[in-house]
Amino acid sequence: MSATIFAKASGSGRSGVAVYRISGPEAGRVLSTLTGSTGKPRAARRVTVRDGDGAQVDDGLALWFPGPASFTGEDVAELQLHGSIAVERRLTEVLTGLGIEPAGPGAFSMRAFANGKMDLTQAEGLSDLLEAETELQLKQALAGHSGQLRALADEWRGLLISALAQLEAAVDFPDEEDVPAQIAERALPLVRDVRTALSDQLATAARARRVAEGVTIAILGPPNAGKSSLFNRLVADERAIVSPEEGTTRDVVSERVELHGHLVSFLDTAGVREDPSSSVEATGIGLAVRAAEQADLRLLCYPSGAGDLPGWLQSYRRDGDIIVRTKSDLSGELDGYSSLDDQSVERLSLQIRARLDDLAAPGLAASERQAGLIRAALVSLDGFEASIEAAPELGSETIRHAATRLEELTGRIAPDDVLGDIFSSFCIGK
Amino acid sequence: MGGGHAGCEAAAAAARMGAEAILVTHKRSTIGEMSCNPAIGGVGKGHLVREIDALDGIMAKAIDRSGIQFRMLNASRGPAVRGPRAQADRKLYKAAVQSLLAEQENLEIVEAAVEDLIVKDDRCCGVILSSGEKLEADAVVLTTGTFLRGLIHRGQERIPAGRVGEAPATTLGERLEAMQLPLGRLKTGTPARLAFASIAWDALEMQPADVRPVPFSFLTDRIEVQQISCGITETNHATHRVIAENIEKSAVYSGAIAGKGPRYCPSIEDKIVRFAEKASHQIFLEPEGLSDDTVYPNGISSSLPADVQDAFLRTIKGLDDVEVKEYGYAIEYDFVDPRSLTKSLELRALSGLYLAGQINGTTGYEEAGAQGLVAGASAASSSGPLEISRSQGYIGVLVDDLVSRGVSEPYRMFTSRAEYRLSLRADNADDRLTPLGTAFGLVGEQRAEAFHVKHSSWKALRSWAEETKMTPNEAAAHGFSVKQDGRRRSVLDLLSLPAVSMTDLAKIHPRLADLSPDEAAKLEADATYSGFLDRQAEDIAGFQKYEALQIPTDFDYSGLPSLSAEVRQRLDTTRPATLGQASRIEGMTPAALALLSVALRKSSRAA
Repeated sequence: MSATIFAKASGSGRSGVAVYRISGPEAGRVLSTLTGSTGKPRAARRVTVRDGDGAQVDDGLALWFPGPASFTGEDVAELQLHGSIAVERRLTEVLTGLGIEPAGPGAFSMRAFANGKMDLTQAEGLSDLLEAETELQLKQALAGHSGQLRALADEWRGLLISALAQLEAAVDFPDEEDVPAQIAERALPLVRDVRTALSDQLATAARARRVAEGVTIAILGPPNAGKSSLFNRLVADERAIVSPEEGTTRDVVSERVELHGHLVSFLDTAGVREDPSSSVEATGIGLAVRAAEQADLRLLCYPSGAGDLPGWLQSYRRDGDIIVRTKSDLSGELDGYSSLDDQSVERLSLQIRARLDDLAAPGLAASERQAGLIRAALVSLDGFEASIEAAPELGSETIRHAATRLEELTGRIAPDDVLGDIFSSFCIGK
Repeated sequence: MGGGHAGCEAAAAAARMGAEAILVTHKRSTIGEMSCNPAIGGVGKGHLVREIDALDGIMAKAIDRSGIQFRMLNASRGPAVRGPRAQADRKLYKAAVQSLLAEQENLEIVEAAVEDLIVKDDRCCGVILSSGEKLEADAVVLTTGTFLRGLIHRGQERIPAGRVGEAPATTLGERLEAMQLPLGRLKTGTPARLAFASIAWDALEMQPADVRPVPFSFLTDRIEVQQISCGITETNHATHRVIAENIEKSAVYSGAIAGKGPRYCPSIEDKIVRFAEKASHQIFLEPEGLSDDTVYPNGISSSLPADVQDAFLRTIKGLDDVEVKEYGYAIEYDFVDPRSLTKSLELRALSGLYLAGQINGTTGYEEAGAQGLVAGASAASSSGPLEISRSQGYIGVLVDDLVSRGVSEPYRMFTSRAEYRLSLRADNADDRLTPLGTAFGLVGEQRAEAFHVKHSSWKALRSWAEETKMTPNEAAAHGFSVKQDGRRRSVLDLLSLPAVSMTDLAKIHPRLADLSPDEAAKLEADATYSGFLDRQAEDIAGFQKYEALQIPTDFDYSGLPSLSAEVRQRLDTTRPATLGQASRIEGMTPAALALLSVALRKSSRAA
């Protein structure tokens, strides 16, 4: 008999309404004890909640979801009560008294997973959904939670199993009429299809990952090029310390904002020059350069009217990076940028937006776990032809290896530490 | 109990362990009988035979003394999937088994029918013979094959029987039924046997034996039995028409048979219905012996009435005037759900009673022999059961599949069932299992010594192959195309190149010309599979971590929060011994495993 668990599913602290969820074989009995009956399945019911002695705890709404048609697949009861701390404390006492155990983080989701209500990628989608901050993140999390990646992984795995079956039949039934060479040829197109699908998925996964984790934009340039003023305008906040003195910014300062629906981290960096005046400044420059290299996009700042961009600054430039000619208020250049000129700020913002839409787009396999497994499957399949040539049975090994990675992706095979990692990231009531 | 392939290995293994073993059989003269196809080995099956031999069993020795057509299947593939197979002279095979058993110390053969088991204090401690005589024993191994409510079907004919001409063991079946063991029903079939002289051999393509037959047993130096060829023919449109027109007369298709048959060894009726698009099916005509005029037509088992069998056979090339010595039939029989057994094949419901062979839902002599060996050795052991893991041998795969997953059709071994296939090869069965068998007390001195000598010489060869190197220039001078990268390449490195063969290298290193087939295969495996073998070693290490997590036999699954009722029931049916075994039960979910693993760690801390 599995234990029946409960938790407050809405956020902690005081609120207008709090939702309590109870899941497990005792959920029906508990609901009857508290409210007199379970009521009709899946219908809201106005109830008075009483403890075992008949004393009132609160009044509110009750919902009854008999398993398996429930979130966890077990019998589930939900109570919507007043969101006071006193009610929470009293209800917890009553439920504990009835032998119901408080749920740990992710316990409800874990049960849903255990009962086959969702696979691992859907659980991860749910976790992303709960943490989504931007609209694009929401869209992406919903796709994961609805099982789109699971469907793809199952389809790829199915193709690989068909290819494997062809190869294995040739190995295990050598005396049958089919010529083994023909069978290997039948497996190859299947393997190629999966390979193409996996590499397409990886290409979009990099963009999806930037939706989930945000796009990093580094601001880079020589000292006193107005980088910090630009940074402040972009994050619309007085976060960085601005001063006319050269080399004020010695650390990397970062700020996360939502820009055009994307989660963006702007990095303000120390001014880079070839002859730093102190070792402190040299360290700051080292940090600046590393941050710029790791960022998804760079804004290369150089004062307008100071001539062409110097070669050293050009050397950090990669495809798609944006050159910002700053301090146009001083030089008077028309297409330059000035932190004091709202129109120029708007122009730059639109330029950044175009780049953001290139760099980040909602997709599947956004997490490193998911993309890593897809990549491992692809690497294995890339060796298919060579391994077949070395010995036909090695072709089966590469396919088996790739199929196992896809099984890990959906959680068909899952080491317990992976599961623990995923479900412990949930909040208590989910 | 039972003188088939499981019974013989069980009795011999128990006797090797030093127990006083008694083999009880209906008929002494049928011990070692090949009731269906007179052949041993094949892909997967051949691996089992070599493993039985590595544990000092009898099957490999018997076929080495009686094989009349040795062939290495998959010879063009890598060593892991090469399967030794030999057709047997049925009489010689039977004689070999009987003489090996006669030579075995501590082994007595009793010719009698078994009426019942003796059960005392919930333990099986002997059998009662039909004469009323009681045989007391510490353990009983039941290897009764298809004798449990066996029913032969041929057209509309129904004959309760084990094999043709032998009485079925129905009383015992009732006894087992009374124990309420979970039983299932399976079927299998056999083709007609043909008269050698009535076949037009001149019209047929012939398949010869291998020029250099590779023995099954690690102790056999050379095959001395005369080798013969088989005929190859095939069905045609006329054959298919005769069968299709009479399909409703087939026992299989008239709905008379409830048992499930093997998908991979279908009757000719099945082949024609299920693969209607195929214009012909291959048939091997295999003589049953050197001095036997019976021919086994491999590939056309049938339960059609005798007159239809005659009619379709005579449409086949070479069989125009064929005479049938005995008609084909299908047989239905009960098996015990092997999930009710422990890993030593002991019934959980009645300790002291072991089951092995077809009674557990398997098909094939090799599968039966392997189980007999495990059951016999475990039954006779005073230091716990003989445990072979999935990473150690096909025997381990077989037993684990049976007791963890059960069977839904007659179970036959394939190499694709072994996830560590690259490591579990026919050529290294002795490296994998002889030391284990020696430590268990199952392996005799002669074999232990022979293994020791062979193993030292292999280790020397292996180091030589690793240490003997040549420069790219030298390699090029010998005609090998390698990168001129200055790297010196070992014999193993060169052998791993697809374009370099053992024969090429033997021209430079003459010692490679004199290798035994096993040594050559092992070198080739280490060269071709390097990298893959390393990855497999990692996988095995991961696998062993889960195998090491023991589940107490009395573990209470009801105390596990959030296990679904379905999963709990599966765990209760199978009672896995380790977390690894639990993971292989059908329908197990990863989350359920994670919960189980947490609970096990908790309970082992508490203990």
